Amino acid sequence: MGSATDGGKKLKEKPYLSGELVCLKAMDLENDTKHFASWRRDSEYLRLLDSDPAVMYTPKQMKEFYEKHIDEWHEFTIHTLANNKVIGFVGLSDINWVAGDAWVGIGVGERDFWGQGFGTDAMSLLGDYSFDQLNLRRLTLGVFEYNTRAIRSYEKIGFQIEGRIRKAVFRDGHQWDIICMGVLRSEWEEYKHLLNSSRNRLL
Amino acid sequence: MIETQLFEGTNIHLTAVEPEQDAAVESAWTQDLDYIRKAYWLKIAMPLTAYQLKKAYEDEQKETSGSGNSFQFSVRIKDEDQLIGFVKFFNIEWTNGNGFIQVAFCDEQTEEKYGKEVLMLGMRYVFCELNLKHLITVVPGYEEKTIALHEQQGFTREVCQRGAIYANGRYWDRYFLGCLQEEWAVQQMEAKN
Repeated sequence: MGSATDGGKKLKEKPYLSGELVCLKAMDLENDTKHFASWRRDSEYLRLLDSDPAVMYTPKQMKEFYEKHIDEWHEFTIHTLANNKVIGFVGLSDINWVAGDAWVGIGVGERDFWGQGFGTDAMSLLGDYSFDQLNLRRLTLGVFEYNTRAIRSYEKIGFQIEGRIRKAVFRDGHQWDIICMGVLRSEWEEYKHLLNSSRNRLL
Repeated sequence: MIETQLFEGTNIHLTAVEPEQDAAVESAWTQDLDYIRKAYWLKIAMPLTAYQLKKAYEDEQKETSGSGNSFQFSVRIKDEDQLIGFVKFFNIEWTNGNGFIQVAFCDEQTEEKYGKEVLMLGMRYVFCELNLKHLITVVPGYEEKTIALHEQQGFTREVCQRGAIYANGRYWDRYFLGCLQEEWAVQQMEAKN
């Protein structure tokens, strides 16, 4: 087997799963689940997260839930680089290894970190991981049409709108579409190229 | 109205799944990988044993009596009681009024012959008995006849997931087709007139 170099250049140029604002780590099922449970007291967070009825769980229930499902999912906790604060989670599910496709999901439970690029950075890291380490070909997600902040974030990193599941969510007496988005490997590489070009211009 | 037999069509009827006998029949169908990709779209395409299918049916029956978010019926030809396919309702979100439907037949010819009748029964069940507002199905892009069958019954292509399926040496799109209850109601009125 060869060494971990490629013509004298190291394959690993920076720490894995570490970005500009956040890093992704394996879950600490004992402690992280306490955060997951406390975030669920914020119903706006729950209504942005998924289409299940907004409901709270205890840390014990969250821990049992994750213990049951941890092996099925590729899920990480999001930590800030500045002070290692746990602010959310991000991960892949329903990985179709044959077609190289997976569904992505993210939840930033700490409200103070909304709208400042932390979620975008976490998704960017997940994308790098999916394409560069898992050799996936595309990523898929669904986002509620009322979550305009998330839609902008996903578009920024290359996701394209692939359609709308009409009137799929019924909340506050109103029916909302679920916007389905996908990013192909070629679109991801284009996004990374533009990102690196703009960073190089700043240097 | 109330006296309408929800499970009875003209040539076919819907019945409960019989785990032991139906598994043996469906196992033979799974030799056709296209059947697997249509009927079990989240699974890797490979033939399934009767044992695996029987267990899947029993798990499904537990799910139905537990969470009540999914239902599965066998499709049989009347009189002969021959199993020809399945219709499944799953991922039902009661608070949002939506759910998925999957119809699967033993072969293409059977789908051509009975597909419309089964889909009509399934849609009536969803919109009149389950009282859902939006019904969705997922179909591989190469299944043009199945897509046409659904579009003729009022489904619209809502999502195209590019290159999301790999089959027969190449990538294909996957479609989400949807029908709203109000669209179905209009179609029923037009059919009566």
